[in-house]
Amino acid sequence: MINKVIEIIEEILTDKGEKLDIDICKDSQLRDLGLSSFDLATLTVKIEDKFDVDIFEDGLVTTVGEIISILEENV
Amino acid sequence: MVIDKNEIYNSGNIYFKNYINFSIDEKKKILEFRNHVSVREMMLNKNIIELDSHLKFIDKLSVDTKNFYWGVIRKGKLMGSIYMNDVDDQQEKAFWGIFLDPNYVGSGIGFEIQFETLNLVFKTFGFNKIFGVVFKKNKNALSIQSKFLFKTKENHEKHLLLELNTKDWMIFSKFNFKEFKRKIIIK
Repeated sequence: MINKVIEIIEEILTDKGEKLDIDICKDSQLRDLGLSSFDLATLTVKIEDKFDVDIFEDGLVTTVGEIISILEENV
Repeated sequence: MVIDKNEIYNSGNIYFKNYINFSIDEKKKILEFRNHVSVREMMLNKNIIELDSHLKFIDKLSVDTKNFYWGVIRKGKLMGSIYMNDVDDQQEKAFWGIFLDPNYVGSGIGFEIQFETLNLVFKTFGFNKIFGVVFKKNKNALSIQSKFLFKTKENHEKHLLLELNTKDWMIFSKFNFKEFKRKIIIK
């Protein structure tokens, strides 16, 4: 699951033309990855398409690990 | 066009509570957000605002018919602020602005708040047109505003004056936030 989430984040960053020069892990802060609010909206849509879970439904997420936790609880 | 300062407005998951109805803790909290360096650097007035001035400012808002400030509440938590300045009742236009709890900058909440705020402005209040000033260095804000179909009205050395009219916004008005995200992201 974490690999798929990281893959989606990398895809968004690549589409923006960002260099992927940092390792993305559970502790990664989404804002430190260079994701804008719009990118995070994109992330929620892509994750919902893949896992059928809206990660922003009940609150806010700030790390990759929090996304994984929400998915593990709901998938 | 009527704006009731005592009403708590709602759009989607977002509630809008006028500063004049804030508790003292909420007044202090919103000032804490406003005085954070990351917020100040994107404001025209970059000075730290003292609590005493802030409280006097809020007191004056209760009789001000041109300037409105709301706290933005999501899931019971104060997340930031939106404001409308120089409200022109006759031409149904105003300047607007937004700032967030610095802890939630980059959390995606700003995108949702802007969507719901624009619904409030155009659908609930019935504004015809709104303007916003964005510094050119604020790439995130510029990127987001373009998604909402804001257009550049004036190009200054350090900032842009952006404009959005009700006709453009109404393209999105039939969607909720979730549908809106899909509409603009999955093309």
